[in-house]
Amino acid sequence: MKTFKQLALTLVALATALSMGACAAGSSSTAAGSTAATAGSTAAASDPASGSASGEQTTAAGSAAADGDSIKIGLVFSLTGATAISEQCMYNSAVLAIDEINAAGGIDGRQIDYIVKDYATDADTAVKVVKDLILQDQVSAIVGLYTSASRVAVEPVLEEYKVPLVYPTFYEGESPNPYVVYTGAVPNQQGDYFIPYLMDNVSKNFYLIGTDTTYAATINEQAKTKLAELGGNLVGEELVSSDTTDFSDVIAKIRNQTGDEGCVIYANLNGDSGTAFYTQFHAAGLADNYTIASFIMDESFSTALGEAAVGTYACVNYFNSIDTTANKTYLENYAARFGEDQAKAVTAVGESTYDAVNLLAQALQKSGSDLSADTILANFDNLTFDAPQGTITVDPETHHIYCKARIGLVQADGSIKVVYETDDVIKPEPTK
Amino acid sequence: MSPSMLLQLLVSGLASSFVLLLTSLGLVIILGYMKVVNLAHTEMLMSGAFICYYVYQAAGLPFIVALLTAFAVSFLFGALVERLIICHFYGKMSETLLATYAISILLKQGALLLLGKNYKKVDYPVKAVFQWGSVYLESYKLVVAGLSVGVLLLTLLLIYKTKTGRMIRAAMQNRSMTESLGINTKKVDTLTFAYGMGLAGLAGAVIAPLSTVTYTLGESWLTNTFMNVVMGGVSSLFGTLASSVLIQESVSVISGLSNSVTAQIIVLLVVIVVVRLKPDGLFTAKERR
Repeated sequence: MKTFKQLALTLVALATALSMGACAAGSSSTAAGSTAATAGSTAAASDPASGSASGEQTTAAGSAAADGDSIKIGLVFSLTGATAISEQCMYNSAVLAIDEINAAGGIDGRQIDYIVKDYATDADTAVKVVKDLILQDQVSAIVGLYTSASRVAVEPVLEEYKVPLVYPTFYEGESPNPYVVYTGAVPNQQGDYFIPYLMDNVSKNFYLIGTDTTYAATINEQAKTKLAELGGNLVGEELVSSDTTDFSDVIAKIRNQTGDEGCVIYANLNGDSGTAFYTQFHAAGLADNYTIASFIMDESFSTALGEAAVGTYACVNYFNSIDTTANKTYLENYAARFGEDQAKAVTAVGESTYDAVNLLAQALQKSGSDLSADTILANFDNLTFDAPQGTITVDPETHHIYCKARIGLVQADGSIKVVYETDDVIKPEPTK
Repeated sequence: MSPSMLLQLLVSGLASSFVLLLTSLGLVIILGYMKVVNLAHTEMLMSGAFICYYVYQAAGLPFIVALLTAFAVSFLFGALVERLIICHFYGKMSETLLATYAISILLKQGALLLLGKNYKKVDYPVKAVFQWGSVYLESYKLVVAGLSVGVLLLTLLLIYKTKTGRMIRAAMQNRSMTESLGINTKKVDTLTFAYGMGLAGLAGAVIAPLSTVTYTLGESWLTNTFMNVVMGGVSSLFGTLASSVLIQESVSVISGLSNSVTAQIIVLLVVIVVVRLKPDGLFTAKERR
């Protein structure tokens, strides 16, 4: 009996450690301002690559063209794993863009062949599949990855074998790598506009909540600096662990510390704990007095959360309600291919993946027959693309994009309406 | 900290402890009465939440029907799994661990592939928020507390006041003696395991409205439920109740004084100390050895 108990305890400790490990992985992954937030979410049936085990490959040839006459690129997304909800839309958008380019005649007559790898939200798997893509499949370039942990892990591989990666997720904007082209927003294109807007339009009182991750901590530090600078009022600050399911203590504190005045609840929480917070906050009846503003809010959340999300603010460079011709075409084609419901949940990371593939196609076209990394990377300089979010340009110095910052308000039907956007595109300023 | 806030934190903590109790009951029954560390427990919670989504939210049937369906489906699944897999591994700790871990992977990846990768939302079945002075409580939390206590009482009745319960306890204390008395212990095993899994499914359905339902739902409950069971003692239902209250009240109050990460760290440390000093948990059912 006693030995059993000891064994049981050891095992329970093990289980705890396992779950903690999973959390840690999940949270470092959130570095992308996003946390597990997005969800293109295709049902398994309509998803060409679902069912493939982690790391397994699915080849979907761009058809017709003969082997020597095509360009191979690798797609690396988590089709399984903790962030699969967010990455499905990225994967769908990548496939959509490639098919469109191939249907329009490919890259100067050469079709794009793509090979899909699933890294299952695991940085080690990402390294392995990226190596496979480079060594076995001999791809010319790679598009994909969502978590910052996986991006950082594959950087040495890219450098060693000299293959470019186009990384389509908005992220913390720190230590960019010369072999990576970034098509998502960085903090100076997001948060710098969020706090002033909220202070002017909602309340000068702020309550900061974040998961115990570097990303959330960084974002909250930036928020505090901005608040001090602009004369905002920091009412309270709260850290929660990333597997938090119960927010009753946090809600009690918010209610007690903020009183009757209005207050912005500046919440940057991971996927599942994020949805739990919105749900419980709304159920507690706090939504009437206080307003949640968050980087994690996007269409995958807003369409799922229903009334718990209505009236909360979001901030990113793309919302799928944007009224441009390019966006209309993108969403129509997306809906035709993956279904109307899925198109409603298209998010910023999906759009930036679509841009990533299109920019890569342009760079490949300029590179002609010389598909070495240096040539491809150099040809990204100053590329412009009429993206669904508006025209974007690749900054030659940093290989990040010029884009607009936008603030959105969740509507009753789950869409996110743009309530503010900058007049011009903003220069990307990643920190070295 | 003001007295009104302390009161609010205590009330919130108490309400949360019933959620924890309900989500841990299935685990403690299977661990306590069968000596099986059921790593599939939290994925059963996830499955129950999905059942709740499809029955209550999608099909629009009454919430109680969703709860009963979740229990029934999980019960049957538990019985099936026990007959096909678990029954071959009794007494082999690491094998049962691997087997239940495998089942948990099957459930999780199955949900991912079959049910899709998007957030599914289950509405609160009751929405009112009660207020006494400066203390607030969502009505659904009261429902959960009631359910939780009800399930605990029913389980105690089942185990201590029925013939089946006597057989379960007999099989736990001395299997060969029980068998020689003409009791089919295999049947008892199946029933116990299925009941534990059924409770997990039920609990999953109950927690579904508190967040969104995804294939990752189980993960977030792993630490809390296992920690709770270890602290309470693996063979004591009252222990689970006491430790649920202790853990959640401490988390709530310490969180009020600092923040919830610190609160969790402190509570985890306390659990480690408790387990070191009392390896059988805080409350251990007295039994003959």
